[in-house]
Amino acid sequence: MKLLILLVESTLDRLLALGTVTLGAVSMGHDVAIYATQSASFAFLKDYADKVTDMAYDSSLRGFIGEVMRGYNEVIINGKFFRWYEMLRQAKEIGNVRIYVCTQPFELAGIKVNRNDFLDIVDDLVMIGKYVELLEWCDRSITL
Amino acid sequence: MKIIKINEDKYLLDARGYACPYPQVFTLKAIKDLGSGSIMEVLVDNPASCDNVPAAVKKLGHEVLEVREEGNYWRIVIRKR
Repeated sequence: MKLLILLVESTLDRLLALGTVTLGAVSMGHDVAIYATQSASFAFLKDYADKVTDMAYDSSLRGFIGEVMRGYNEVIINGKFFRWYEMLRQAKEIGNVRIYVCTQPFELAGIKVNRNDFLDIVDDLVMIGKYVELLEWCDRSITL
Repeated sequence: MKIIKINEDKYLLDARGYACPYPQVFTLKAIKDLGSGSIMEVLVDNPASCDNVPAAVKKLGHEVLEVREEGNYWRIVIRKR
């Protein structure tokens, strides 16, 4: 199966879901393409990937999320879990994963960027034409 | 994570303490490198992995010989196709 993941949000819960789904899919032999746009584009900036620590949640769940963050930080220190971008790096080592970052948000913000500004897991900086091409390529598409 | 060779055709993967998706990812990654007919035992300590790991393994055509509870963890015994 060829899976396209559209990522439009940049909170840590989305990025962890992205890493988990991607790793799960490639471990089963599927191909994955990731198209990051809107605020998600900024998460792939080299200098910001580690700064993403917020999760999106209802206030009634605050206690659970606090425990998730405590556990997340603990298992990373213990080497039993990995940061979201390391999960994507591992997925690329296992199988066919391509990561595309949409440049529209940078254009809207008036920010000039080039490949060197991004994590080395990013394959290309792209625009909407690439997304349409990926839609034609994939068997399934999900949005995070 | 390292896979431990127990004998000629038997291997052990200790995935205890790892959260989803790693028990599945490590298992499927490790089994790739084994010869056909090899046995791999995987240790997991969360109940969901008892279903998830065998299901993923079977989906790829390998055989799950046993899922055995051993105290506070489970041993999943797999034969590579």
